[in-house]
Amino acid sequence: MPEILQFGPFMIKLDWVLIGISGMAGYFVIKRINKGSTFGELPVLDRLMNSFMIVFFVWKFSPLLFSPSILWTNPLSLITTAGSFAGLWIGVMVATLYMIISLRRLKIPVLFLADLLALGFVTTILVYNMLGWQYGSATSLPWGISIEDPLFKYHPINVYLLVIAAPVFIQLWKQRSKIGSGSMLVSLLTYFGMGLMLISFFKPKITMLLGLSSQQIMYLLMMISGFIITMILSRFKHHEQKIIRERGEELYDADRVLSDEASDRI
Amino acid sequence: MKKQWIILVAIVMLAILAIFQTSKPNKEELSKVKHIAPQISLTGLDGKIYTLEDLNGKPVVVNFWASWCGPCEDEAPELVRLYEKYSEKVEIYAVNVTTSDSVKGAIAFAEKYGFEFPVLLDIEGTVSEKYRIQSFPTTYFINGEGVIVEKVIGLLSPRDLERKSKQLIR
Repeated sequence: MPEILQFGPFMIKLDWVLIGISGMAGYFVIKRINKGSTFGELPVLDRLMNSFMIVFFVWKFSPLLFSPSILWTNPLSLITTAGSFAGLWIGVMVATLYMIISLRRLKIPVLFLADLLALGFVTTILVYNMLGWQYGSATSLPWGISIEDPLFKYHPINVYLLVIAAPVFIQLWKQRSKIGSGSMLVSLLTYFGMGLMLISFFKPKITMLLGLSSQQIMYLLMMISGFIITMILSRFKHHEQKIIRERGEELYDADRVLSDEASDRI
Repeated sequence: MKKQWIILVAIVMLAILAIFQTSKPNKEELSKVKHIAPQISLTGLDGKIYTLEDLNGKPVVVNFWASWCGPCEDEAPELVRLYEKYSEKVEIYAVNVTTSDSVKGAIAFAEKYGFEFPVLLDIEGTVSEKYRIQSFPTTYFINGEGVIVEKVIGLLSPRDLERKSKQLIR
C-alpha cells in the first residue's frame, strides 16, 4: 500500500486517513453510549470535538510558539510545516483544561467522560488494526507475514492487537451500564496496558530510558495509573460505605431513642 | 484487595521483562522504521562516492530533496544550522532526486544555501526508489548501527529536526 495518497496537487498520508476512519468509528460508539446516558441531552460531544480541534490547531501552529519570527519572515511555511512534538503536548494540556472547565459548567463528572473516552479509544484501536498490516520483529512461526522478501517473516502485530483489543472492547461494552464509575477507564489502563506491553515484546525495540522503549514507558505509565486509580476508587468506595454504615447506625440509634421516648410517654 | 496485589505483581513482572528484553533490528533492508537502512552508493557534487558504510558508525540524517520544492527551501537553512552545530556527531546526506530535478538546479540550490555537507546526486533514481520517495522533503534518521529510527515525510519544524537528530547521538 502507498504511504501517501495523491489527489491532483494534494497529498495526504494514508495513515492519517486510516486514523480518521477509525476515529470516526470510535466517535459513533461514544455517541451511542452517551445518548442512552443520564447526560445524553447535554452537549458533551460538542465540547469533545472542540477539544480535538484545539489539539489539532495548537499542534499545527506550534512552530509559531517557538519561533514567532516565522510570521514575518515566511508565513506560508506555517501551512507546510508539521507541528512540533512539544506543540502536541501543549495542545493536549490546553484541551484538557478546556474540557475540565466545560465539564464543571455542565456539572458532569470527569469519570463519566473518561469512561466514554476509554470505549471510544478501544474502538478506534480495533478498527485501525483491521485496516492494514503492522509488522513486528522477525519470526519463524507459521503465522509470520512477509513484507517484500518471502524469506523474511514478521510477527503480525495488528492481529495480536485485535486479539487483545476485542476482549477489552467486549468487557467495556458490558460495563456500559456502570458508566461514570471509572471502571471502564481502569479496565482500559490496566488490562489493555498489560496487553500492549506484552505485544511490545514482539516488536524491535529502540531503547529510550532504563532499557525501555518510548512505547513501553507509555504502557508502563498506563498500567501504573490504572492501578493507582483502582486504589483511589476502592478507598473512596470503602470510605463511602463507612459513612453509609455510620449514618445507618446513627439513624438506628435516633430511631431507638425516639421509640423509647414514645413508649415512655405511653 | 487480593486481586489488586496480583495486578501489581503482573505489572512489575511485565516491566522487568521489558527492561531485560533484548532486541535486534530487522535485518531485511527496507525503508521502514526499525529496519536496516537500504544501501546508498551515490556520487556527490564534489565527485566523491558516498555510502552508509563510509560513516563507520556515525549516525546520519538522509534528506531527499529537489531544487524546485518550496518546503525544501524552507528546510535548507535549518539543515545548514544543524550541521554547523552537530557535524562532529551526526552526518547529513542531502540526496538530490535528480530524476525529478537537474544537476544544474541542484548545484545552484546547494550554493545558494551554502551546503557544507555531502550533496549526493541520485541521477538514476535507484536510491529514491529503494527509499520509496513519494514527496519532498522526506527525511530518514539512521542511527550508528544503520537502523532507521524515524522517517518524516514533509517539512519538519526546526525544533523537531534538532530533537530527532540529537536522539541519534545517544
